[in-house]
Amino acid sequence: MTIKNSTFMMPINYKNILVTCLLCLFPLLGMAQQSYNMGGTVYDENGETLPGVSIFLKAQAMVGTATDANGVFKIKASKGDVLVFSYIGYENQEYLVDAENNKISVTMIPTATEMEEVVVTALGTQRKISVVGAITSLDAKDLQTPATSVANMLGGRVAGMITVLDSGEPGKNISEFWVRGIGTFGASSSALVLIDGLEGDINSIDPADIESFSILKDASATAVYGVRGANGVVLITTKRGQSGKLQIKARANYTLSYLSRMPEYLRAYDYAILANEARVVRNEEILYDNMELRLIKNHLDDDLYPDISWQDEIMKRNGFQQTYYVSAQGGGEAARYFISLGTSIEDAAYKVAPENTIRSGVGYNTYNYRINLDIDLTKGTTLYFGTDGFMSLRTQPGFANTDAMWEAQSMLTPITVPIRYSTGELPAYSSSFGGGGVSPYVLLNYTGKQTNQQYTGKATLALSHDFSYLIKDLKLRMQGAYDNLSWKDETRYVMPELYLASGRTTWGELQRAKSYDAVSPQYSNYQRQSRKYHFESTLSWDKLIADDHRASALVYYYMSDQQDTRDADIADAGRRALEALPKRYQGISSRVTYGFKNTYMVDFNFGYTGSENFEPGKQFGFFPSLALGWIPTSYQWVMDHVGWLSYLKIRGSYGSVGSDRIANFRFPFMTIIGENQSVGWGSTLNGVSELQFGANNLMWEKALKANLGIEGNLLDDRLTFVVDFFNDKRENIFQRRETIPGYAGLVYSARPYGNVGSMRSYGTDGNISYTHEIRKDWSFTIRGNYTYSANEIINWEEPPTRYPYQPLNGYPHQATRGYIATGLFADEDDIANSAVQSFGGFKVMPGDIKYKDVNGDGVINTDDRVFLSDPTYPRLMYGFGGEMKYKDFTLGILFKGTGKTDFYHVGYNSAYGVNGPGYVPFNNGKIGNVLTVVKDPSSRWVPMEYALANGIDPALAENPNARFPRLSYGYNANNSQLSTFWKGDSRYLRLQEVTLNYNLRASFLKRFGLSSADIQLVGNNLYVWDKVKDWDPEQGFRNGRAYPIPSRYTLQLYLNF
Amino acid sequence: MDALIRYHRDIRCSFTLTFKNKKRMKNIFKHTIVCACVAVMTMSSCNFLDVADNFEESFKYDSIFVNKTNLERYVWNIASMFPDEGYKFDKLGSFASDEAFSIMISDYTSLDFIQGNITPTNLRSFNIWSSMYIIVRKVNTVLGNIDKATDLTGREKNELMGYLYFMRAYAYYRLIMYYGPIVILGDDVMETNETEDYYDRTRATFDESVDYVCSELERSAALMPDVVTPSYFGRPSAGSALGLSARLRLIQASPLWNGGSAARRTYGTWKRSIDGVNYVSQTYDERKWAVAAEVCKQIIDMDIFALHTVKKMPDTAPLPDNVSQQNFPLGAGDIDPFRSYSDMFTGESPFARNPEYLWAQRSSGLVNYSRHAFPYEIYNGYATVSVPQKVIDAYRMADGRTIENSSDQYPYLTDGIWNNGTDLTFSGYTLKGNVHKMYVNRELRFYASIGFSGAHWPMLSTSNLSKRNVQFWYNLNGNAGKNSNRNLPYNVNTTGYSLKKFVHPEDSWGAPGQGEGYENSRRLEKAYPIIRYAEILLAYVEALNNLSSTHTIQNRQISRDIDEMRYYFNMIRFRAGLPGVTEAELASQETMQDLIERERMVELLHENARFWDVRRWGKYEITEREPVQGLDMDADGLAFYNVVPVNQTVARNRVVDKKLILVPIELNEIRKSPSMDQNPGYQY
Repeated sequence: MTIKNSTFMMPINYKNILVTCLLCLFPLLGMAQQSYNMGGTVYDENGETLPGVSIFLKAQAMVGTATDANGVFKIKASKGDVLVFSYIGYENQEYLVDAENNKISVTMIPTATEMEEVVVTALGTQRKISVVGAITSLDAKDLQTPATSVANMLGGRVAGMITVLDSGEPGKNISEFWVRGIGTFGASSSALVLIDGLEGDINSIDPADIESFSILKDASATAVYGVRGANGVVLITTKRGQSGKLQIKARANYTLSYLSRMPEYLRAYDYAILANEARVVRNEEILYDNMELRLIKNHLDDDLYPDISWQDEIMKRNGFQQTYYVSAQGGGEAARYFISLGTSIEDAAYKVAPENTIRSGVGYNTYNYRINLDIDLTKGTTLYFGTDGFMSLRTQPGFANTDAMWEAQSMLTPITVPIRYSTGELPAYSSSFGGGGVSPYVLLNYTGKQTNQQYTGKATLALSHDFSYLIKDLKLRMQGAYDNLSWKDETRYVMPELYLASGRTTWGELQRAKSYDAVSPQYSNYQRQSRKYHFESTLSWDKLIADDHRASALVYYYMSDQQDTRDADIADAGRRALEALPKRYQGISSRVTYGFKNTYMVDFNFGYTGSENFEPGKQFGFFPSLALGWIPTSYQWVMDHVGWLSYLKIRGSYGSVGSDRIANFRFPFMTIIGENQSVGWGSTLNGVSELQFGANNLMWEKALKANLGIEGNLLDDRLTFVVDFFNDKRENIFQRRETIPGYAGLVYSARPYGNVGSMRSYGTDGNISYTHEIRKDWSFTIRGNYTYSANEIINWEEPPTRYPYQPLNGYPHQATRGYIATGLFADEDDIANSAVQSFGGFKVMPGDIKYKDVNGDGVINTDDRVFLSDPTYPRLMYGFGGEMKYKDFTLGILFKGTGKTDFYHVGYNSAYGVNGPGYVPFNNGKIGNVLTVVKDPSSRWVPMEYALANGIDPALAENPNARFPRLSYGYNANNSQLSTFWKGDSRYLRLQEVTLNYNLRASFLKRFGLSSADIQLVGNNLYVWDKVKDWDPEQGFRNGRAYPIPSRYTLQLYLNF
Repeated sequence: MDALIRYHRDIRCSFTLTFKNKKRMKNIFKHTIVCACVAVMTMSSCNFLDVADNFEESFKYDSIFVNKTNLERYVWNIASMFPDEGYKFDKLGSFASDEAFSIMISDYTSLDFIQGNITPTNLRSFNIWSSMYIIVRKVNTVLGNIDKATDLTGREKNELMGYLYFMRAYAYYRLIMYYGPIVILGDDVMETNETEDYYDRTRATFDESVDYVCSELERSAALMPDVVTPSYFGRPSAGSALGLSARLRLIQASPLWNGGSAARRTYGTWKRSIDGVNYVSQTYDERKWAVAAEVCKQIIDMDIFALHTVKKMPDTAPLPDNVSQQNFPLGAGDIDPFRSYSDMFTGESPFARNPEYLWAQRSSGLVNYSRHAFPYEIYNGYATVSVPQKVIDAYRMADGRTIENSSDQYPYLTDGIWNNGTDLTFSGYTLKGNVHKMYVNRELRFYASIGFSGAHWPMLSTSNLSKRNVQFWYNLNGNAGKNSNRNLPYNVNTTGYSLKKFVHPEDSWGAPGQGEGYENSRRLEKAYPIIRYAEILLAYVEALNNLSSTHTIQNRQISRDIDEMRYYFNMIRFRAGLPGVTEAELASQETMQDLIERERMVELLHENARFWDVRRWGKYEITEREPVQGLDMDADGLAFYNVVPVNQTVARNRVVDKKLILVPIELNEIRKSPSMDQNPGYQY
């Protein structure tokens, strides 16, 4: 029932329209001579009664009625009349009156909205067949499984996405993701995420609110975003109201998460025995004499020689999450709405001690709502109002950094301190790592509480109007939005008095000294605000001409303004006023498409967009792109002769996109002057000086993207596939100028930037799916996807290096560099005949790691460090799985995996510091925990002499392939270098998800007002095949110093009212 | 606030259309298109993206040069980028030479240098290359824009230009003193974002470098005032510029840099790689001495500067018989030699009016430096400045004889404690009667400079009477000895001699851990003489002494004029209360050179002369090879006074290598510019 094909295409007169509408609603008295009393009930496709269906006589549209709340109607009609049943969203049904009947049963059939599939693209939708850019769309229903965030659902599910999840802790368990991997070493490599056209946080949205989910990967798809599109774009649209019956959906789930894989550490006695070995084999005195060993073995002194499994003391292995969600969708002809409300309550698997009265455990709760309203103001004019909010509340111990607990858990030995001295005092060991020598038990239970709250609220108002009366199919849409984010962190920090025992008096009394003064409760808070204005307007037009020519054009204009208090907070005092200035974008972009007979397609896109980050006059960049598509299966000849191939499309695109977030600070073109600078030589003035030297000729980072895609359907569309190949060249990457010599007189720390870097990234992604219907109610689908992305630095500016293997050029970005280990030194002769290794003055012994003298100068030093392997994030990510439907049961399985990704157990420097502790035995001496695997003599290099003297099987001694070198007690500078010796392989295949869904349609549900219910059992992260074993492969380099990624078991209930 | 208002205005002009529309629903169709067009136009007219304009109330780059005040704010900020020369541990100078010793290697870069640990990749505080060129760039930036300041009068502009030339020259001067040959940029301000070859420059030769900097110094001297008003104390004057020029010219004329055998031996093969030119001249040119002498003479002829003297007082020590009793400068009859020398270092003499300073500055670094003379425990010093025995032995006896050749009247005895019974006091100084005989009968500068074992430390500012008028003893169990501070074994004197030169009788430091003001302890403010007249006189005499013929420099006849040499050399001697030189000594060039060298070591002790002196004389490898000696710190009683080599790793590990004449340039600097050469001896 659209107005388009009505006869109202006349000079517009609102009164007429209004009157007509009103008339439609009220039945007029008919003039029929012989009238029957007709009546009955109208049902929807599910057999539900349908209220509000209008019924009128086909010949006399003025005569009509509507169904009541129970779907019942009554109307008078004459024989031969045709009753028309009309309802928005449904096809009209007709009933020919030939006799009186008040038990007519009419079932309405929903309109097949548009038979052609559409894809959400930049600035609108496109018919799927016309799309020539590289776009992956994800069916929103694939996102309806329980997960902690949307980002966590992407890896393995979406071709073109690379994700890494490195913590399983609630509130931190949010994957990092990149579209087609990392393509730049510039300041920002993350994708632009747009929710209903506005930049947003992918994790603040409930998956059930998502209507469509697309990833724009190539230049053709992203060019309209111009200066922001270089790293790919994720487009999410949310559900909107639809006129028709009210639909209520409710969801509840209950998840049990279980830390299935935890590192195992030695207990006290084994630890002590090995500690003695570590000392003896380095010609040092033993640490525990026989008497002490007996005390340890028999647990005779729990104060001085305790035996604590810290893991058991702070972990309970299980965590729970429950989420609730309800949405309502409906509306009439004039207005439509979608509203939703959701919440998630999740706690972590920390074991809060009973005496911890403030319950300072770790938890993460979220609350979200969304209201989308569409109001038809007049014919062709629609007002859209949307608002949504997201609030999260994270609770942590007052110490706040739970990483410190994991550090303590993995590093603190069982024997260092007890949980609590028998005298009642809590312990602290004097050193400063993790929580500063505080046991994880104290950190968790006695340091107070911190809460982190985040609130996001967005309101948007859009007006769209159809200008068909001027130019057919010309539409204008204008939208304004306001987005507000705020954060509030509150800390209530407290610390008890802590003691360290040193021994016993001759009377056996425990001697202890205070090592930490008590800290009385301290309150502090931190607040941050961010807000954003956005305005955009889109003028679009598309037309099908003479059935063969399909053309469209679109002009998009936008401007946005964003401010964040943090920008000023983190800047130097002298830069704050500058950093606090709003970030602004402005741009106009356009897309022109033309298609001929669904066979040849051309898209031309451009963005002319600007950012405030550049010099006035140089703010705008022009980013064009061109894409071509060809569908050979549209030829009649192909249709006739290649029947098995129902659809094939070959498409290619080339174009440029930009990135303006080129530096970690703003306005690099500007020379910035600081006031209140010092003066010298007797002057009393207030000095001024440059804080930053502006760089000449700056511009945005530019990505030249080429993409070639092939997609097709085979076997009656049962098998579909898409494969894309891409080659991106990033140019003008912003980099601090490294080759400007000192005599240019620029302050090194403030030296200017230049657009000097360049980098290439290339790869392929694709997906395939096969659906087979075995019987009417028995079908299955199998699916697979992959993303492979590699990169190479073409130009990283640096001063010439000493050896040809030292420059970064020609190697992947973030490649790992270190020493090549050639094994363990066999004996003293081996050491004498090898290059000199004296890291930190450390004297090497047989069983220590031997490195390759790459430059052959007889000394091992930093010049021998070479490229070792690709970066530690995966280059290949894939997923496969499928669904099987049998009657009302659906079983879904998803595997995800990554390709070979090397990591290093020791020496790798990351945001968490240099790794090694927790993995290398006795790395920190008295606070160097030891993995149980070390107990096996063949896992470590045991000197033959020691083996013989201590009853270790000589066959296991001096194992040249040992996993650990000769033990040493304390930091061993030689063995702690990053080298191939410590290389691990973190590739994995994960049974990511198994879903069993039962769709319940029993009639008894109706009694509860339900039309259907789905009961789901979902398991996440059920099993991992990998080589890391001791902990999760995605956390390989963390060496057990991170909250593991739990297995999750969920019971989920969906109710449709 | 203003920025906020502007910002809202911008937003309004872009959003108005949305709201206006609502009021005019009736005409919505026609107006929508118009509005859309207006919207686009409005945005561009608003300069929506020019947010940095909102920043206009703050200081912009261009506004530096628009008026005199801003210009001066920028210029005097440049001055603050020069280091405080009074703080010596992190610079080339005393601790990198044989006039000072410490075992605090981790803290003192100078010590690290002498251990050979300073490499192109580990320069620690010696990486002044870039920081000095920052000054050059800033000066050039001002020079290129100075005409924009319209309210600057011609006179003001000239004076400011003088200071600017001086700053640039002083930055180059520091580079030459550290690295030797420099890259001369002229008035260039390099672009900030250009290709590699744009930035490639070569180093000038040593002579070109010195000639350029000296001519720049002389140019600045012509523009700067001759006298600094006391309120601007610290600012250079014409004399400062000429003084630095004289110092550079003397270095340039000296054997290492002037084609002497030292130059050939050390730098014979050091050639610029792009054209094969020797960085250091390989042919001797006597004229360079004459040029140096001429600059010194210019300074003398300015008639502004004079040696600092204090009139004779009742407690002035009597002069030995062989010292002229005439009035200064022909004798020392009317002056107090001890005070004349000492008061200009301790802060006693009002330094803003001291005629001896060609350039001096208030120096908190010097005050800090002097703290290191005090023992750690109880007296709250740092005790890391030790003076080697070599320096002690360089001081003459009161009658001007050397210790090896002392007279019966003023004998140099090493056989035990003096046991004088009563203390000897003169010029406010107390020589206690119970000190070792080595420290008796010495020239006055010795007492003014050296804190030997048993020396008297008044520390008068402290209210703690037990801490006033104390003798510090450096023997094993003495109150300043090795055992006095077992907790911090690096904070202990290691030769038995500390430096008293910059310590005023009032100065004291309170108690450890109690803060500096504890017990009312305080220090006098001190000025560090970057260059003083005595050095110019010694330089003049040395330059003249090296001439064998007459040279005409700037219309001035310069030759080895015995009268000039006697007059100015004796001036230094008389001020110290010592006899003048003999005619026989004057007659011999070699003898005079020896006398001058010894005089410089004593007179300019710890004033950044010795490090460069031994190098320019070509003697660095000889003087540095001599072991660092001191008293036996591990002994008490008379055994303590045995002179022994300092038994410390830091002393044993001292490296003597030609490469240590200069500091290396940072490795990356060499790699960035293909035409840049490293200093000899440094590989990576």
